[in-house]
Amino acid sequence: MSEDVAKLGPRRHAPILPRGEAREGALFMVMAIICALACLSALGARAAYRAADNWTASLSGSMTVQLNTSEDPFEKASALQNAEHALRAVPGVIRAKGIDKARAGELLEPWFGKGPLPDDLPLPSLVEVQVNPTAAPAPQKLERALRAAGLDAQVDDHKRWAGSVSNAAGALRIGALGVLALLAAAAAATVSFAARAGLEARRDIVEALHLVGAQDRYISRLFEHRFLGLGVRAGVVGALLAIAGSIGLIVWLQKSGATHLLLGEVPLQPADYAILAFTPLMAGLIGMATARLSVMAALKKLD
Amino acid sequence: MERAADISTGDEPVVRLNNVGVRYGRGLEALSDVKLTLEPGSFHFLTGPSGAGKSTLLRLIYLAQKPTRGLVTIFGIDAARASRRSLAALRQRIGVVFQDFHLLSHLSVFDNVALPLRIGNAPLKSYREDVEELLTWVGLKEKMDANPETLSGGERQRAAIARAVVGKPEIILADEPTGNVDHEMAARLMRLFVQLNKLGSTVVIATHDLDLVREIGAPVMRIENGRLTMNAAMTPAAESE
Repeated sequence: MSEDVAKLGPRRHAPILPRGEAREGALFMVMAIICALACLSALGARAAYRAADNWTASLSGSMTVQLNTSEDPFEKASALQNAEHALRAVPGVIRAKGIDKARAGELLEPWFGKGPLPDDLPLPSLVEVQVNPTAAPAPQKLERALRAAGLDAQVDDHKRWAGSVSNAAGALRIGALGVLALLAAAAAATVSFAARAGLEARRDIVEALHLVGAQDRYISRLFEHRFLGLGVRAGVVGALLAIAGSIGLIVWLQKSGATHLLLGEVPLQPADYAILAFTPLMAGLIGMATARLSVMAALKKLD
Repeated sequence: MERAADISTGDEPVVRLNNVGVRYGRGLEALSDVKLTLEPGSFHFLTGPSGAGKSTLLRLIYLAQKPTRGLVTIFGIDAARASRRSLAALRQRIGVVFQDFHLLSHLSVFDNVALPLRIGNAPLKSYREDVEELLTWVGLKEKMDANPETLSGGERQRAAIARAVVGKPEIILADEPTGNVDHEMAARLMRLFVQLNKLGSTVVIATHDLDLVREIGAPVMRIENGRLTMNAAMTPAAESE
């Protein structure tokens, strides 16, 4: 080694594919928006599913009994008391409580406002029954127990509503998965187009690399690394946009009073954060895999 | 005295062309019935008028083009049947000085010259000294961090030569490698080719510079109207006879 060479300072290679082209900025924006939409779609599906779970859990743990009684207040109160006793004796029933006028007032508050209910408002004789969700008695069993106590009643186990909620949540989830698949396909198509355009625009580099003996895989890897980086960065920005969007939505829902109903107590759960953290990785992998397939196919056609 | 350019010394030839023809579109053949055998360690000049087919012949040898007919084997491998992977591996054993240099404008001179070594995924520290020493040797020490677009034609040519020889290839092909440099630098660059030839590289240099051909005294292949012939070595002594 000559002395002159030994005196030279540190050296680093410049990237073989030049950086910072205008179209990469536009592509980055498109990818970030796709990632944000994907995150929102996934978070929305999870929130809907969680809300449906909350609703069905509360519905499946309770039943409502409607007693057929006369309008006589004394007879009504007596029937409610008898029904409570009869129902509590059924295995699997945790709690049975008649709905008195005060409780009915609470339930009807959204429609009648605060304050006592009108005296002439006909109210059904209802009993709220809390059952063990894992060993709930059949509605017929409750009806038999009530008949044995001399009461005529209908028992509603809410299955009709729970089934509808569950079906709606399932449909929502399938819809969200479909949207996610479409967004992933859109991201892949965008990257494929960009990779081919990049290859065409950088044909001089590709040609020079081929002439010095570079394998197709080497050239492809240059593009793969470029799109992996771009996908990860776009995924991070997309996830941040989705967090901002979610916070905006939660604030809006809180103002409208629907947060608890739609999202439960905790708006974003650990699994939601995992989705957000997973998005950059997925975006990077989609970018990398698509770039590889596109560039390898295009290189075979170049010669 | 002229004879067909089909020389053989008994060793496995590094390049063999047999009845090769190249035609562009529906025109006349750019190369016609070319027979050529290059032995390992041989040194040849390739001469002929512009448009005679010199560049086409070199393109066939560095596997940038396939013949319309005939057989091309490089290191014993049929180029027409070789996979893309094999072709790339063969190209790594061939160093080419292109007439239009093919330097990448966004890379420094150092990075351009190091490109054949870099694609082999070797770490920078394993070849940095070699590249810097070679650049010093071709007179580009002060320009190794420069952009090729800021170099003169002669400097680009020297960078292209350095890139072609940096990996100590088994075949060196040079298309007019001294066309843009002064005589002193031309002689210096030719000494580089001769030295590499002595180390075992097979060298083919396409040139119009007959003074250079005489100075080196290597056998000359002449191509005219797409046909290749072999001349005896031109030396100052031979010329005076």
